[in-house]
Amino acid sequence: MFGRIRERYREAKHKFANVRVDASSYGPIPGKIKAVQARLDEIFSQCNDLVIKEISCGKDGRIKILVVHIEGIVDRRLLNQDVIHPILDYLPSVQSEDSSSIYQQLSKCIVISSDIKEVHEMWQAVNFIVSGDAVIFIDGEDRALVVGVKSPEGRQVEEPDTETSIRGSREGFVENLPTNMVLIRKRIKNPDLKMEIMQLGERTKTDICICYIKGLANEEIVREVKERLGKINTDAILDTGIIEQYIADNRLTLFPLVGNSEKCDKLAGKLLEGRVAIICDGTPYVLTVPYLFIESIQATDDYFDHAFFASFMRLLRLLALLTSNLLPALYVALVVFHHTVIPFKLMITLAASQQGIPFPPFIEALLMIIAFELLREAGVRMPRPIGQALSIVGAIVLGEASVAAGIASNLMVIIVAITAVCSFVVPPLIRATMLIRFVFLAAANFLGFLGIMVAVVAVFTHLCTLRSFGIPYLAPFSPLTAHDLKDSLIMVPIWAMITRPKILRQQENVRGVKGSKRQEVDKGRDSQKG
Amino acid sequence: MNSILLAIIAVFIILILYDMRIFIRNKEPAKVYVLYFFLMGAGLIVSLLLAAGIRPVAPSRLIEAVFKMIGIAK
Amino acid sequence: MGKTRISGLQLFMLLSGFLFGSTVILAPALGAKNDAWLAIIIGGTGGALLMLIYAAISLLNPSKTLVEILKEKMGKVLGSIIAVLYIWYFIHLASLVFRDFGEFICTVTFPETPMTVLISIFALGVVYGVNGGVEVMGRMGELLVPIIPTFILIVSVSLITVNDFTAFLPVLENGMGPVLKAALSYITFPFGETVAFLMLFPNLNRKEKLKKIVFVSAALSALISIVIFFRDISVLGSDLMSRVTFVPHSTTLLFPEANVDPLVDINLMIGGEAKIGVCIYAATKAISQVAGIENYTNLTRAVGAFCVVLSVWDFENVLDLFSWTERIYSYYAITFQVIIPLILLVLSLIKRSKPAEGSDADNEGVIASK
Repeated sequence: MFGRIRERYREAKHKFANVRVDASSYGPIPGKIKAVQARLDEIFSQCNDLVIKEISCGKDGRIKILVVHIEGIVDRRLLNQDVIHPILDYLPSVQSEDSSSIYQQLSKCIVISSDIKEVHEMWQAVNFIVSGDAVIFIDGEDRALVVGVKSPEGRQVEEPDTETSIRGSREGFVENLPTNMVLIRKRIKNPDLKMEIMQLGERTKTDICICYIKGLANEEIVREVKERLGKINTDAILDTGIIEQYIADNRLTLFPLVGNSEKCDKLAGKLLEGRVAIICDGTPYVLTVPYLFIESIQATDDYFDHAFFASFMRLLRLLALLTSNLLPALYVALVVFHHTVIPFKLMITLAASQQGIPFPPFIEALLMIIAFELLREAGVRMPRPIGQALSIVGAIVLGEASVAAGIASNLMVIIVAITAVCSFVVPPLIRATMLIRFVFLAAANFLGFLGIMVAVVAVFTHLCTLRSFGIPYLAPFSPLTAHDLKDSLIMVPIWAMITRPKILRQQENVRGVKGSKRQEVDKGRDSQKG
Repeated sequence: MNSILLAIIAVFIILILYDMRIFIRNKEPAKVYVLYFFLMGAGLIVSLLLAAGIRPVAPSRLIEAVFKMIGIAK
Repeated sequence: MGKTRISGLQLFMLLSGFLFGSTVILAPALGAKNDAWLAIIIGGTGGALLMLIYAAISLLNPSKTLVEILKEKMGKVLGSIIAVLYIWYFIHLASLVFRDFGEFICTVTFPETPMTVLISIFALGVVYGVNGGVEVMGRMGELLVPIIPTFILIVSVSLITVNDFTAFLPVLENGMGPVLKAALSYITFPFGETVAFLMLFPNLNRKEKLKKIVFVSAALSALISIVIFFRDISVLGSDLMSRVTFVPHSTTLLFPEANVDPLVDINLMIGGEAKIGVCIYAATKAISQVAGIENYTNLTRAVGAFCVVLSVWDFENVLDLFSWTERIYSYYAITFQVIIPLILLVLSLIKRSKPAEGSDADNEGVIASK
């Protein structure tokens, strides 16, 4: 029985795999201009934003030139000034019949642009047209000129909404790929900063840029990234979130295995540690690979502040993480199973607050947490002007009124509030926390502390099995790499961080410390054993 | 009594189904099935007997008897 | 499955967790009453020696697990039969530990929950860990085992106010007899049980460290046992100590002000997880090697389920459990822990074996050094 189902599944998969847009079916560029026009009309039928400008030149205007572009994506002023204007100026004076010499002239002297390419196939020309370049077809030539006149319009570089920093640059990435690449280049002025562009997505043909510092990044990881990206075989890549799900090691886990960021300085920092970045056109979120658990506790501001303060903040974040996961569960475990552990004075308050609540503590906790999650989700989705009203409704209704109505106890509201606040302290893990909280809560309700412990051990085991691009997720704690502990929970001052994260297994393992003796000492050390 | 029996059987069935899924997917050789069912079968039978109240002879008893026979233990 | 490697630190943690395992719940060497500390010292030395014997066996047969060594030294047939006996021993050991912990948690923390349920839940967690492989077990050990001595120290330090430091006197009131007997039982439980690690030692990444790791973890475990003993006897007095079922738990009950015993007890379960995890891993791996199965993870659930059933089946109540352990276990265990390994050691010394395929060539120096 299972065999039949499997057969059907395989058939269906096969069928849909062949729905690829067959690019090579466009054929080569026709020589005659009329044929070119016909082809373009056929390919771009019903595309009213395609503009074809026909220019005649040569003796008796016999040789025609087509300048093709799509309205809107192209920088109109650039196109007019640097392409159309020079052509119109020059061409009427051309007398020769030779199309190839016209082609040479156009490409070498006439068109004012630093970005001129040549294409021989129709599908390449079409690709460039839809990407925002202008293509020049010449009668009698079976090649075409592509002029880069893409318009850099888009959102301005501004502070990212989701990641604010107290100290440090406010620049965040935008939706335009070249702009993002520039933002990184500005910070790392080094030819070793490699940026390789590829296209993903059969129909969207989104530009993706793989970015890494050669010599710092592990060659294996770079290769693995390219391989995994190459394996993506889908219609549309609209966001790095989609890429993330395709390339992650383990797709079933709740924990993020690929990091993302909207901030330029954070990304530059990660590149300098030896990570690989993936930038996608159309989204300001840039992926970093590999991603370890400890990175969710780190923040860029830590490096700009004093080490003691930063270490304290990291420990605080870890505490917040644990609290947001375990607090409701611990409360339920205490109240339901282990009354003896509660100090006597608190016990009286607890008992009093539990009176009159119709639900068992587990259901009560569940209701409050779900109510809070609903609030939060509504706050994200709704239009700005109503947001204010919602927060008031939320606070009053959920907080005060439910206690007054006897649906929840005061203590429970406090606990859920603390839990919620703590969960926002570690943004990358918000989603994981949301779900794992329920697991712990259920375990606590089932078997008290033993349940929590087994659940914690199970989650721990799961974390231990995770790897991000081959690097164990819980590094540097396990396997214990002492060198990398200097930047984990406790941070040492920046001048003491003389080695890069060993666990990423760099080829060049020593950071250059400005002009100090350490550089001489460290250069001799071979710290390759990872 | 009955509910405990049902619970035991339910648990074993869940375990067996879960493992069967994995075994069939990976096309395990027959040895695996034999060993697996041997262990699970023994477990199932013993737990059913225990739930019914009959205590079959425990291995520790047997070991004790063996050592008593040899004369080491008292 | 390819060979996964664990680092020295991870093996150390696993070993220590294993040795802490049952001993932090039941006081070791109880038979000697006040002189248990002497028994611990003597037993500890003996135990360390025993573990070094295991290390030696592993080093003389590099990259071979227990089953492989048995098959090689004793011939395929006899070796396989003895391997099956060992499989039984590991399973029985796992179920004994399950029962110990089950009785503990059932009596102390959850009196109303049926023990079977508790043990099953516990088993779920353990089996999940074992399925991840040696690497995952090593990492778990690295992260979780340090919690155990930390808690023990915290409790011990907080109890200093309640102490009567002279309670362990007079020394040798009953003569050396009980001390030696207790030392013997201390060797078989827990030190001898590390024979299960003979299935794990081949996975260590750098073999030279093995002797040091084994010795240090044995010494550390003995040290902690002594600390626990002195703490318990100073707090409880020797009379109470011999009557109470679970000694360290009773001590924790006397923690000033707060009632922390559920928290502490739960943390002690980590040791149980390590111990049972290693035993189930050893048993499953052995089964897979005897029967010639590729992937041992297929059978972990079956073995785990069987261990749970066995743990409930084996004894009727806790007194039965303790009396059997006191009388029979030592002799039963010695067969597996001492007699057969000694035979293996002698055989290994006589015919040195070549390294197994896939191991590194730097093992040659290790063989020469023994």
